Formats: sequence, C-alpha cells, structure tokens
Amino acid sequence: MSAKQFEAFLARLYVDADSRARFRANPLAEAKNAGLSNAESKALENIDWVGLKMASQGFANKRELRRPRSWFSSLTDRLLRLISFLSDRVRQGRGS
Amino acid sequence: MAGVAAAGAETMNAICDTVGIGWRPELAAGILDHHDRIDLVEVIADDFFGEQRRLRALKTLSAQVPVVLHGVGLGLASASAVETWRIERMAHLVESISPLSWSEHLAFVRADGIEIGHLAAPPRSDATVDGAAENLLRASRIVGVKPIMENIATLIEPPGSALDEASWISKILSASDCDLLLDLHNVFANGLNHGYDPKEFLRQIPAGRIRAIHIAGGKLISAPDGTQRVLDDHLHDVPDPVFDLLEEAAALSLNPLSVILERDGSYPSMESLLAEVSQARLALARGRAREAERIEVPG
Amino acid sequence: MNPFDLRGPEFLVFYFFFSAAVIGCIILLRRLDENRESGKPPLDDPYLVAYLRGGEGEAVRVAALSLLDRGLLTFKSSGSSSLFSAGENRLELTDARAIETVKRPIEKRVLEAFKTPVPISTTLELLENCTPCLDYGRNLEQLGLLPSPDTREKRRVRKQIAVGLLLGVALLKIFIAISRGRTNILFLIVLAILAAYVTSHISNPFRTTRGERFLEDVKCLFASIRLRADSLRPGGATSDLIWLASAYGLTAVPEFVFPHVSAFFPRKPLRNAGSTGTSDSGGFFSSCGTTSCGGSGCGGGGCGGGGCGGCGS
Repeated sequence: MSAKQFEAFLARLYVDADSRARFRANPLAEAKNAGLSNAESKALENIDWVGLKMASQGFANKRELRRPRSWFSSLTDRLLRLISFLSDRVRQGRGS
Repeated sequence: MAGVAAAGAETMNAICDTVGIGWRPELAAGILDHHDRIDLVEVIADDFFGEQRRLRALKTLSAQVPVVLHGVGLGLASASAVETWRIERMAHLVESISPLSWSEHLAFVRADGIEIGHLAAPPRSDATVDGAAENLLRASRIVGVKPIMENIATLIEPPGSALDEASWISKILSASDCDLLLDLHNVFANGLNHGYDPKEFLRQIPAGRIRAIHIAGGKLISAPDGTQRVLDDHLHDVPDPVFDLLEEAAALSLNPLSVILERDGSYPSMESLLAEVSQARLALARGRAREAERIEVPG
Repeated sequence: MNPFDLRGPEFLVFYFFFSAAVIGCIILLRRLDENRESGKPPLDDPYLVAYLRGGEGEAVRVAALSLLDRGLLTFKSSGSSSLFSAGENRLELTDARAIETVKRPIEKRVLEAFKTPVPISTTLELLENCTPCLDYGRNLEQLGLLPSPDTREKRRVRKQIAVGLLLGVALLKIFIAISRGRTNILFLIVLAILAAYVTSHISNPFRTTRGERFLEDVKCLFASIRLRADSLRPGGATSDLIWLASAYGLTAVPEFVFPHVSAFFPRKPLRNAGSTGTSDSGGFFSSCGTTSCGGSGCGGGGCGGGGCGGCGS
C-alpha cells in the first residue's frame, strides 16, 4: 500500500503548487500527514528540489497542451472553417 | 574506414537493422515522398484511441509503410494496477493495425486519480519493479503481444529510489520477460543530469533485450540553482554523442534493431531528417563492424 | 392496407418514406458491392490522388502547378487581371532538359505541352485525354477506387430499377387518383421528379465507395497541411503545397502563398466528384479529433498528433 501512496504523494507534488510549497516548508510533516512510512518520509527530505521544480513546470506545460478545448473555441473553429469553405467556393466560381 | 563500414554493412545486412522516423502530420508529405529511404514509421498510439476516421487512415498508411505503435499514456511502471480499459484500448488498436510491434514507457503518468500530464519516473524500488512487472504481464496477456519498454529521461532524480536506473530496468525486463526500447537521448540526458557515464549504462543493461532504439535531440536549459540540465524536448537535431551511443549499442547487441528518429517540432527540411536517418545507418554499421571484429578475434 | 388507397397527403408521406427506402437501398447495395479489397492504393503519387478527387482535369492542373512551383515552368501573365482573363495567362518551359529529368509521365507530358508559351486553360483542357491521365484512370479502376465498366453497368441497372420503381409507383397513384376524379397530383409529380433526380445522382458518383474512403483517409493524413496552408512556402523545397492541392483542391492553396494559382482553376465544371467537389476545404463539419500528446492547439492537425514530446519539456 505504501508504495502506491508514495506515488500518489509524488503526483500531488508534481501537479499542485500549494502542495509543493507546504512540502518545501516542512517536508517530514507533509510526508507523514500523507501517510507515508518513516523511511519514505526521510527519503523525501533529500529530494532533488531543483529537479522537482523543473519537472513540475514541464508537466504543467504538457497538461496545458492537452487541455480539452472549450465548446466555445470548438464552435469558433468550426465557424472559421465554414467561412474558409465558403470563400473557397467563391474563389472557384471566380476562377471558372 | 571504408572497409570497416563495408564489413559492418555486410553484418548489418545479415542482421537486418531498420531505421525509420516518427510519424508526424507535419512530415506526412516528406515521409510519403521518401518512403523508399525510410524502413518504418512510429505512430503515437494515443492519437488514435476512439478516433475511427483516423484509425482507418492509419490502416491505409500501414499498407504503404510498416508501422510500429508507441503509447504514452498507460503508465505501466507503477506500483498501482493500470486500469484494464486502458490496456484494452491499446489491444483494440494493435488488433486493428497489426503493427510490427508496440511499445510504452517505464514511467507512471497518474496516481490516485491525479493526472501528472506526462511521463514521470517512479521511485526505483522493488515495489515498483513488482508493480511494473505485474502490469506488463497483464498488458501482454490482454494485448496478445508483449510491449517493448522505453527508458525515460527525467529532470528529477526519483526520490525513494533504492536501485540505480540500469538495475531497475534490468529487473523489470527480467520479471516481465519484455524487451527494451532504448532511448539513447534519454540515456545521454540522464547521464549528464544525474552524473553517470552513458556508455557504462549501456554495458549494465541486458544487451540481449534491446530490440528498438530511439534517437532524438534536446537542449540545455538553465536550472533555478544556476546549473544547467539537458531537456529532452525532441525539437533539435540529434547530437553526435547520441550517434556514438548508437554505435555502442549496435556493437553490444546481437539482435536486429529498429531505430526511430524522433522529431516533434521545429522541423528542419526533410533532407536534413533523412541525413540523420543515414547517419543512424552508418552508426549502426560501425557498431556492427566492431561487433564482427570482436567475434572474429575473441579475447 | 393498400397504400394506393391512401388519401393525397397521406400518400405523399408514404411516398417520401418509400423514396428514402429506395435511395437507402441504392446506397447500401453500392457500398456492399464497391468496398471490396483489390490491391493497396499507393500513397506516394499526389497526381493519382488529384485524379481520384477530380478527374483528369485535376491531375494535369496539379501537375502543372507542381512544375511551376519547382521552377520548371515559367508563368507569363497576360498583363490584365487574372480574374478576368485566366485563359490568356501562359506557361512556358523554363529549361528543355527538364523533360528528361522529371520522374512522372504526366509531368513529362505537361512540360512537352508548354514548350512554347501557350494559354494555360486551353492547353490543360487538351491534356486531359493524354496517355498518363488515361493510365491513372485505368490504375484507379484496377484498384477499385473508380468504377470499372462492370461496376458502371451494375450501377446503371440499379438506377434503372430504382427510378422505374419510383416513377412507376407515382404514375400508378396518379392514374388511380385521376380515375377517382382527383386532380391534386402536383405535389406527387414534384416529389417523384425530385426522388428520381436524387436517385439518379447518387447512383453513379465519380468514385466507388472504396475510393471515397481512400480519399477521406488521404485527407485525414494530410489535414495538418490544410490547417497550416497559410504558412506554406512555394519554391518546391517540400511537396506540402502539391499534396494540399491534390487532396483538397487548387482552391485550398492560398493565393497570397501562390499568387498564380487562380490561373489554374478550370473554366468549366470538372467531373462530378461527389460530395467533396473539385475543391474541398476538408469538410468543415468533420471533427478534428483530439491529440493526447502535445501537438497543435487545433486538436491534432489530422492524423496523428504532435508526437511524444520528449520527457520533461
């Protein structure tokens, strides 16, 4: 069970800035509050802080790229494609 | 040198290495125009889940050029079990396309309902070895074909790790009987970022399990502490050290190798990409030649 | 219940659904008959795709555009606006040696036609029956992407039966109505003519079902080019422009990217190219789909997204 909790704790650190800030302030306490074992909590005390910050930023960038588009932006996209389609038809008519 | 390359080419011909490129929509025209210079394409599996029209187009593509599937969203290297429906989705795609192979990453991408957004290195521990092996065995059973598993680059040394990267990978592959997709830029990046010799790493992993190779480029980025780390962004040319590692891998492995050039943006001309494909072929040939010499002159 | 005993408005409703059923059967039979595997269509010849989309006219036009883009043909403007005198703009061979070096027979043929400066439209119209074009047509028939003579015959028979059925039922009802002293038959006549017209139209499209699907697949594979058409650069360094024209039509090529493209538009309507027409914007009702791994913000840019994205970027 602890290994899964450890992964969950890591995932939270990667995606949630508040969790990272609290952890930075008091690593041992945050780890124990998350239900991690003594050994796991101790291991997190020596975490690669620089790498954590960089990795978190990278993951945030990736999540932003994959964010589902809103219905409004999808609708806008379809309208723009409709305009493009109609203008193509007009151009074809002018060219004939 | 020419003689070495010729001997290597002969050995390579006998072993049948292949070199291809990652399929990207921006490269579609170039890939199809030059498909005689490309042995295969690698397609990102996740782009085709649940997309019937795209799936049919992929089948049309696979009739023209051999295809391998590469997943990014399963997160198989986790202490938690991957949901069956995710694996079944991959199984459906594999069944529809009949690719040469399918691959995934030795990473976790979610935990306890939290989506990380990309590939994260789990703690390298016996627990994740066991979890990964279980996931891989289940995936192999459901899909019907074993996946080839890729090592990932990581900007953070995974906390809670009791094993080094080479040992961890070796244990997972042994427990699951899966083969390795060796990403050489990831080895290069991790070596620089976390202080180990990439060539030594290659000697520590089971060479007999290397089936496929990725080559790519990245860049140096500034870290908050003023140092620099290598970012594996796939937006740059393949650096020479990665070609050196390719030669090394070819010298170590007796298996036929499929090498894929990964480029995800900032695309150069198709000729530049094909030049990198040719460079990869030459590196493979050099490695095979060294292997041939070693076999002929033992000790 | 005898449908011919139905009153006027009720019979019109019956006839509407009857026509829909007949048309549905035509479509279904065509799909069953024309979707058989017969060889792997190649994906490396844009002119083959252009022919599949719009016939001989499109193939020669795209070939001419490609040769102009690569500098093997030179554009000679008539001097007046190309909108009003498209037929008088001319193309001329830049270097005669190119005829020997180009790979594809259709390109050779087009270059030969422009050895001296001649008007674009009339020359391209004359090229529509050239041997390379006929070869493309035969090749596409063998691949099952265009209807073969056998297929066309089956379509003709199905059409005749369907139209006969539709008109027969309508005529019978008209006869019965008149014999009962009813003269309100105009709507039925209009509906019958409309049904017969639609049946006739959908019975014999330019492409087979397999051809339609292959063209859709090509468009999906090249949808990214369509989305970034505005950023394409002429000059022949890549074949993106030509695949854009082949898969989506000449009007998909933006004029500010390729100013002379309108000179290549046909003066007369090209073959019936089905729902996609001779110029196609890629189906604005179609869904782009999503990408799950990086990629463009539009949602994937067609077939395959932006790749793995590396680790940590």
